[in-house]
Amino acid sequence: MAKTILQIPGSERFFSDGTRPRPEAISPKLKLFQSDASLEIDPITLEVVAHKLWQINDEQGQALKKVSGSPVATDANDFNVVLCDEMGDIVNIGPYYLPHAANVDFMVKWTVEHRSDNPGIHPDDMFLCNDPWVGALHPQDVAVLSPVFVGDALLCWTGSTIHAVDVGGVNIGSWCVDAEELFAEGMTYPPIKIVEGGEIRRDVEDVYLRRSRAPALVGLDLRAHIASNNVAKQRMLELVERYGAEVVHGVMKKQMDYAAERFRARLLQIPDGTWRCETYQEVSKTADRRVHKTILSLTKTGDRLLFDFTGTDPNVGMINCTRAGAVGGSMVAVLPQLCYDIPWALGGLHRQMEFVTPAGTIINADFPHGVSMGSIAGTWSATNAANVCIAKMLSSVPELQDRLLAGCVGSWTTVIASGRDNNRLPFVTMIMDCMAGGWGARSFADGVDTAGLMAAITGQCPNVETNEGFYPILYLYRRETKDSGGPGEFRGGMGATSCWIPYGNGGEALQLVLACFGEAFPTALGIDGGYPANTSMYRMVRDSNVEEWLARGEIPPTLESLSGTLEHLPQKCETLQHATDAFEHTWSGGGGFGDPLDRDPERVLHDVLHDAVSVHAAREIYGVVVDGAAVDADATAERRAEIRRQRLNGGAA
Amino acid sequence: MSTRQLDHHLAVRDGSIVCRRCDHVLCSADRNFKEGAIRWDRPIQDANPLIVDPATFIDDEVVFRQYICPGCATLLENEVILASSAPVWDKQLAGGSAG
Repeated sequence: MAKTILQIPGSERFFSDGTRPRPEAISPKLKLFQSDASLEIDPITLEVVAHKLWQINDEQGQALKKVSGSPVATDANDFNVVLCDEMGDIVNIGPYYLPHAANVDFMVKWTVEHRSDNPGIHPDDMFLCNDPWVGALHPQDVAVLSPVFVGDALLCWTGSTIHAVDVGGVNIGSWCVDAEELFAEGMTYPPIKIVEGGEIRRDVEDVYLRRSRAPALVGLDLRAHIASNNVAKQRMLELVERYGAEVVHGVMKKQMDYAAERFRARLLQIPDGTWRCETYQEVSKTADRRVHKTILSLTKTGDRLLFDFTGTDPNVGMINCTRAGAVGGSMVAVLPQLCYDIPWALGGLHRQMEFVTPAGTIINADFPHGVSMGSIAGTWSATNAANVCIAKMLSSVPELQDRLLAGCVGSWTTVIASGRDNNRLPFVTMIMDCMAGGWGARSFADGVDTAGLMAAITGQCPNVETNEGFYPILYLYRRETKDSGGPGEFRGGMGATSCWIPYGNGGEALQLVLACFGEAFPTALGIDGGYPANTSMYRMVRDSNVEEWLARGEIPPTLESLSGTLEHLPQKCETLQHATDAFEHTWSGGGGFGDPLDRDPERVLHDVLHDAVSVHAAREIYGVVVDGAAVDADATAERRAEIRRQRLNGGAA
Repeated sequence: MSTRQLDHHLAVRDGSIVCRRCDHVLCSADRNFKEGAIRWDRPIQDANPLIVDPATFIDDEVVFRQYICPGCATLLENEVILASSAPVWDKQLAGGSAG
């Protein structure tokens, strides 16, 4: 029986919908910098300062990576950095985890409204926040916001978000697969003043770190936030000193105006219409066996886009996100497909978009429903739906169809590992291998194999040696997965598979928390006749004979080659991995584009010879009969004719 | 006679949705093209050789649904969809009857 989760009176105060702060709600104690909207800035200065803002935003990210000791940030780039205007509209965002596009700005807007009076917003203050209803994607996404003052006036904000490896909750890594309400998940903080007058508040830091299973690492991440914001603030003040606050502030506004103008022009190239997608997540927490749907109707009218999630299923389990996740998840698909040559000044881009996110659903959960998987569950389902809707929209435009992407990497296959490391010290980490997901096919070319995530375009798959160096594991293999790219006239990019055993920690078991969706059905969808990609998969061989293989100096090539008991592990679970248990996880490729029967048989042969496509799939899906290292042309023509006859009979032989 | 592209395979022409390859008329332009296509509901495992039996994980039935041009057998679109769900009207140009 589903648990009754009561809404908490007063909790509605802790909600940001991303709109600009109401002037009447801002304390007169906070003086906002005002520049003359009619200020003329010569084109050369405008370009120089605009490029300097991009450079500062880049340096923010580099500073963060140099200080953080978490591979989640340093290798996988699960963080982002922004520059916002004084009211929280984003002028620059880094090319890191893109759902954060709707994250720090939500928080800044809430902070301006709710913190300008008490405790006040002052120079050299910083605020920490990971409250999903204020703007975080889930409690693990911790942001630090830093106001930048010129004199006594608030000029702008810098901010950063990092996925912290653990902020508490009933399951390690704060992926609370056993929970369905926030009170069992990681501790959440609405914006709190973590730095005051340039000094870390030790009492506040203690409250924050006390609830983490990895306080040293999370504490170092906190310093990475602060360093990143300090660098950005210093550079902004140097820019002000050189060009004047009026010019810098004016350029920030004009960058957003320019982005809006370019986006309007792009949208006017596209016919008016509506594109829809129904996509799913299965298993909302441990022991659940239901499928939960996200529905998106994307309507383009003139120079505006409406994202309407009406019809999406009610909030359930731990897979929900808040409105910030739905908006940020949608932006993941907007930026690369529609704004590839437009500055990502989101404050401008958002002027052309509206988001309908019904409350009490898996894409806009009511407080205190579970959100610990929000960043890669509700948010990711919004991305999957927006990805497909925008791709189908672009497929209607001859001039823009070469910019579409079929479904990219349909799910993040979370693997949290903890235990004692090679030095017998406790560790908690997230294994980030599935950063190497496959991208969707294009209208003129195959998707890129193991390219990365649409959600994190510069994210990287950590080296095997890095993971083996940091953690007590030994890889048996990591490789691209045959048949993981969705078939089509153009094939989706391949995903990959990793397999490892515990190693070097004296035989202690590792504790794993697993959280994904898309294990029962594929979630990276094809378009225009393209097939979907593979499913995610968690498998374990218990009590294997891997030690015998290693003693012989051999590496087992597959799980099936090991003796022992093979288990398919469910989408949400916590389990132990003992010394002789081999754990494998497979993640998603990209969807295909166009009818697989239209694919050149020689390209199918190439894929077969390069382990991208099996002989079975070549015959059954592409209708291509491979004989040795060649295509059997007659048999292929016959097989393709047979498939067409079967199609015309609606599947009857 | 004007033609508007609906997607890689389909166009809107003279108030109808037609196959760009064989000119087969699927339906009027203000309808979901899937109403005029051949529908083939297949087991979800047919979508990809790596998919295991969904009953391992879930109780709901999800199918791999294909839509095919009756004129030339081109595979127009696929759905990974709950068996209980109606076909999704996924591509709808405004002023559908125009063109």
